[in-house]
Amino acid sequence: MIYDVVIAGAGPAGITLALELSRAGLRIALLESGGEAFDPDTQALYDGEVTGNDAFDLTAIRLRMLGGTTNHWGGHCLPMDEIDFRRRPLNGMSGWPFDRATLLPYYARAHDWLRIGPFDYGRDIGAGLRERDFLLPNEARLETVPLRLARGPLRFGDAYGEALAGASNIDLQLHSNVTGLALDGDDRMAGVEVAGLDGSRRRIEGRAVVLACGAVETARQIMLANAAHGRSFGDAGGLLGGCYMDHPTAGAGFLHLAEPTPVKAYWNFGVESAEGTPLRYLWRLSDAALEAEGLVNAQFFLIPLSDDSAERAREREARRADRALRSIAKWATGRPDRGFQLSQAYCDFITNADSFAAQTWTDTVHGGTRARRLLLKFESEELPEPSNRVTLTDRRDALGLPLPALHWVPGATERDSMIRSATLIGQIAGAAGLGRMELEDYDRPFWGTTTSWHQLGTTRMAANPREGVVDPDCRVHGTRNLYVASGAVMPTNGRANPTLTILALTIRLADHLKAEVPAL
Amino acid sequence: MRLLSRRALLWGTVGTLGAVTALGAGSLVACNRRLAEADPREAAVRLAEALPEVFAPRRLAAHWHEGGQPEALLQALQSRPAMRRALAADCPASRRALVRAEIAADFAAGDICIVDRLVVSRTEALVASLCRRYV
Repeated sequence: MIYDVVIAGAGPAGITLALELSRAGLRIALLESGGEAFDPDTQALYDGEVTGNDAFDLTAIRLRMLGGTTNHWGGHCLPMDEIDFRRRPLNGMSGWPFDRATLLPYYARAHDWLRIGPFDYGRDIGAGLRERDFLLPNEARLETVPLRLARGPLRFGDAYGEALAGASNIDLQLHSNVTGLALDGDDRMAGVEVAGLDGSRRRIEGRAVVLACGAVETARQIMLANAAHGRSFGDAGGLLGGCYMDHPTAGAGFLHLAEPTPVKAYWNFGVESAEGTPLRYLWRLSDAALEAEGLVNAQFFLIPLSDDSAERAREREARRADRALRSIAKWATGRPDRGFQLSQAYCDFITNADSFAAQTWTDTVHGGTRARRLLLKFESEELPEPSNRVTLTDRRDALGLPLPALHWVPGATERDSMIRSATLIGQIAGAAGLGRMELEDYDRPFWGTTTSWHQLGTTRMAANPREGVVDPDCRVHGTRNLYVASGAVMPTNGRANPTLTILALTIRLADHLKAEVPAL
Repeated sequence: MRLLSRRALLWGTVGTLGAVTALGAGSLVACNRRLAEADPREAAVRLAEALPEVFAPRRLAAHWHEGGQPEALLQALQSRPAMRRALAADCPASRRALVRAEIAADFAAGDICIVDRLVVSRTEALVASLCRRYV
């Protein structure tokens, strides 16, 4: 059987793409390496080396099972900013081949898949919030902006498993690992080669092939195909696997507040939009400030952090007890969390009950702990550097495929931008009488950053084949029918958590394939 | 017979206003002269009462060495309008308010410095550094 579209990877992009295409009546093969539950042997296929800022493990930050990495994500959703599309990266690489307005209708549709309400990111979407709930009014350089949380956080395998099973034109094949791309002629994919850990092998054919398996695995698959067939699909500019981007994250500094401050929107985890989507509020420098100062984009979470270690410990223990109590409540109402154990939850609550009681008393009588110091935690845009890249190693996985190696070093431009951004925030806070900023120590290795678990950019989009790997339609340069649905195609990554943008790009690709596949 | 002619009223008003202006200006000049002649120790003692407006003054004083000698520190402070008035103010509350205003003005104008990773106004650094020498 020849499918209309073969999709490799059943994470959020693969599942959304399959269901979008299904509505158009196309026949879809949706291939997933894992099953419905976590399996250590399958997960081990995600092994690989990390060099540079290597304090993470490739087998830990992604998940190889139905629903993909949404099985352990945070659910943060927000679109990229206008400036991310308008300007080129500060290192001179190419930027997006279209503007933000092009993505807006797809962002709105992505909201439906993520179940996060209407596409509205105005500061005032928080129900019941007043001006006093914010630390500063929006001004020319510093903005308070919300992000939306996909409640749960939404696990795509659980959320859309029934829809996949119920779609007669979607053939979901679990435990099916793509081991190669089958070529038909010079530039056309016949389908994919598939293997199981049980030793089974088969070919699945389609009129179009879509790689939807994340930035590292997608680049790896194209590299393997190029090596197997002696081609250089998507690699005319030597950028296949390059320009890997994360959102380097660390503390930007502490804001010492002039006055003990009651709960504000930034650390009030009960704020929701009018239709009931949980919200988080954060700071960002305005587009105008970023352009005027020549800074990379970034977002800043404001986290109260007492300088009293006993108080911090009490708050931590109280949160642990609160989580335990909530998970017991969910279990009691028939909605248990994944991996829930009653004995463990009960023990967690009882052990921390004293701190929970003390914190509840503080919250009730004094209106919550008053913050005296805020940690500003940044998540920074990362410039697309060709040297940050995925390559293949000599080591092989259980299927006999070369394992990937990832080299990742956050750059000096981003570091200097964070120092300047935090200083500017300190200046604004000082002028407003809000407090004083104490910058973090940026002289630590990799300026203290770690991964945000966002893997992006290894098959970057560009109209010119020498500047990117896929074209503006997400088709791999040099091929007729090989596509990528992943954050791997992003030429720049702004500050926004990427899932919403990945889904918007995926829906845009779905519309393209609906029109294109009949002619392929 | 009129007791007060219109001309007399006019000249009287002008004269009174002139006298008040001259008195005020003279006071300011005298005050400035006094300040110009004031020694750094006296200024430090007066500003010490406004130290609560300065963030982490000991830490700033220990790590900020760009202001130079006390005379230079005082001169830099006197070049700032609100600080000149603060140094002249007899009321400690007024002095604190003026120091606070000058600090806010520094931040608004971007006249800041980074001292031991703290983002502070230049006035804060100057006041902390001057006070440390004598107080």
